Amino acid sequence: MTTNATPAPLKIEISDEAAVHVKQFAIAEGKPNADIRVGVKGGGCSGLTYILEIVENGPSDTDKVIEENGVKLYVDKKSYVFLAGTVLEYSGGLNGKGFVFNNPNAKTTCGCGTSFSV
Amino acid sequence: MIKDGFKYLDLSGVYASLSIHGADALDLLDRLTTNKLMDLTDVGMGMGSVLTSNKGRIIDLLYVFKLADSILVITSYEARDKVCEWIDFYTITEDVLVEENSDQLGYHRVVGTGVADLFPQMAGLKPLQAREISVGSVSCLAFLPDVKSLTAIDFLVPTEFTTQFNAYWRGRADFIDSDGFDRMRIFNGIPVYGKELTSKFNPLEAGLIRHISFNKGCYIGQEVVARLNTYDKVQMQLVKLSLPMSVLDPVIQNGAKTIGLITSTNNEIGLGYVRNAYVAEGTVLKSGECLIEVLGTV
Repeated sequence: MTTNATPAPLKIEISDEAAVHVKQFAIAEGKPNADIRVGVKGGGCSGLTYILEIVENGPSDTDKVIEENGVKLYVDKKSYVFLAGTVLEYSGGLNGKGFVFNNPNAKTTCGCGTSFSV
Repeated sequence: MIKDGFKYLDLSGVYASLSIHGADALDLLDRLTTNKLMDLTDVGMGMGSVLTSNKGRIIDLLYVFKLADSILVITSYEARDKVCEWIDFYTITEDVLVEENSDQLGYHRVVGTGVADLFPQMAGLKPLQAREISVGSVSCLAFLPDVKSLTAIDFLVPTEFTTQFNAYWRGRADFIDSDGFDRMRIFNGIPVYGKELTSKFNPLEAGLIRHISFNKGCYIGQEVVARLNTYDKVQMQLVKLSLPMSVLDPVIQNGAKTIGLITSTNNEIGLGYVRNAYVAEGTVLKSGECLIEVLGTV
């Protein structure tokens, strides 16, 4: 049997808990209406390092904009290639790691988890 | 008659140069290579830095210079496309543009005691400090190469002035061919891409520790390189070898045990990687039926 169903495009998701913490951080920084930018840059032990920052100046013309759980998330198109399908989560508690990128494209990650290879 | 005793080598087929433009050029290279390139604060400063894979293996040894309007990278000629592609792959949002210069700039070396005395502008320069100088009528970029046992100046010369540059040295230096360079570089323990500098080896094995910063933070391959160094896990080292010209087998053995690999040979000298237990000067090993002697680490 075959199916013609088109798979849903991969997107970047942000978990409920991560969204709550993004808002808390934005308020703590005195920027309650800020959004977040995610991306990657070359470097880190494994090759690509995650970028996560609070931004106030909106998206650029070439950014993809994803809104989920009340948070607007901007990602540049080249980073999106490496991040499609990622879920941004938050690991709290004494042993928690803070924000965590669960990225299905990552083949390996470094010991501290901040960089990955594809 | 060659009165000055200098040796001239056209190394344009061995080394190539890249110009890397953009505000993020140095920062990106710092994140991709082993040395602390962000310390290149002044125009003319340069340093060696190894481009490594995420497994800490060698992609190529680079020499990086800060110029007034760009970053100059000396790479191996054979590796130039690979290096450009590597930098391009990791350019995500950065303001970086890589330009390959090998059609416009030739790479030349003049070897000999006192060669720097010919050029007053070179006085007081340390290795890998670059300066614009004039050689006869030719304006070029010059620096002392990073070779411990060799007194030399390297020149980057616009290819359109190669004839005039050569004319300056004719009568002042012996012109050495590629075989002569190969012999000279093996004798002086200079590793080259494709032989000693390959993805089989890491920078610590290749004797490139002087081009590694252990406190700069992350770069690709850093975790592996740092672990090898911290826990003393480097298994082999690059050594100079004395060996008969009849050596055919690159495998180095001690008895029945394989303990190394010959990577370069030329007229009874060679380079190779040997396990740590056998790197002491004077150690005699075998390759096939031939006896080879370790002359020391590079």
